[in-house]
Amino acid sequence: MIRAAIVDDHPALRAGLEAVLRAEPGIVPVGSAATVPEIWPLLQRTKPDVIVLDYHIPPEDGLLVCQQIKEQLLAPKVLLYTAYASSSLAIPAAVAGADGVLSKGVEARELYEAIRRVSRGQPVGAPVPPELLQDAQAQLEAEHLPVLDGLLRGEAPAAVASAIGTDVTTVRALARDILRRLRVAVPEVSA
Amino acid sequence: MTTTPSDVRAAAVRCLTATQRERRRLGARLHAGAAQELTAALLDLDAGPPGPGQARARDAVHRALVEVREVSQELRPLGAPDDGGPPGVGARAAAARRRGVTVDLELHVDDAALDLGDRLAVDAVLEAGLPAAGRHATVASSDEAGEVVLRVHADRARPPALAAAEDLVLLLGGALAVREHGDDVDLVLRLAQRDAAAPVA
Repeated sequence: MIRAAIVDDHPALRAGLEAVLRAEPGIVPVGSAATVPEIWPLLQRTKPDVIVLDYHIPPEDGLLVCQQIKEQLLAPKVLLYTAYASSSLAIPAAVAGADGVLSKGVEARELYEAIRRVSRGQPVGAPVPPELLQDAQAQLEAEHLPVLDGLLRGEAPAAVASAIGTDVTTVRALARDILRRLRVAVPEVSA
Repeated sequence: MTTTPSDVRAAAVRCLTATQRERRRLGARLHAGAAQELTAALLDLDAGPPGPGQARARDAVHRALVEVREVSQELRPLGAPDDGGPPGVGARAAAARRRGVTVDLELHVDDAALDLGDRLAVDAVLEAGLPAAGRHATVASSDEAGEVVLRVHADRARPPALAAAEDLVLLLGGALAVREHGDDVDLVLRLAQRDAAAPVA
């Protein structure tokens, strides 16, 4: 049984997601949060396997929230659920540590499959097109590039830190800096 | 009372940025309101009993959602700041690439270093030219004898919205030349160099 938690600021979406997840055998919705402060007690209380995370959680950016979730000990898998699940989000999502990216509006069976895939550690979402990778690299400094490479290969920040001879705190700080610099390639969403 | 070209340009900048701010507000409202409600409606339909009526309703709601998202993004281009300033060449190119258009950039002038009026003129030309491209576009900028020159080439898939761009460029103190040949269109924007158009390193 996959335990799925929902994080979305829109009440109708939280209710809709809970209803479709409840209807699927093998997946159980264990709770939901509408704001960032509600996320941490939700994680502690429900210990989900997968979080279905909206791209934007007021007042924060879903990518930075995703990064904070993945910094937790025994962090759940994170499926970024967004209106903008294009290939342009593949790089920032990987840098934030998201395990998958799914478009809002897909059929429920695609949502179920995505939740099952991320819970098994399998990728979900568009691959990174080479031209977008070049665009992203052009916006970064030399110190960011090995971190970007490692995170895009799906390595954990600790493994990236070990590979480049630094500590995990530095890798996370560089990843946050990468997200800030790539912000122009990501939708500016106010709700 | 005498109105100088500089007064006209300043008024045009104020009008354009105010218009863009309002467009972005409406785009954000569509995204946060109608698009979320339609997404929730899709989930409700998926949670209900399947059947031909459900499938038809799902298709209709999904089409409406796609259209609302497209309109929202047209009103509020990715990378556009909320202060009404333009998104910039890189963001416009990225948006075209997301539509599957290959965009080659040959930039020798940093558009971010131009003044707001010139950046709005550049954006008006990009907004007219890039959506016209079907598969390929080129955007090039250069500093030519004291003028900033922007060239946009698109393999035209649909008619570009040129009339408004030409008027806007004129109000902003630039000149736009349009050459349509075969299935392609070339737009050449010339701007008198103001303080400094920084060369791209």
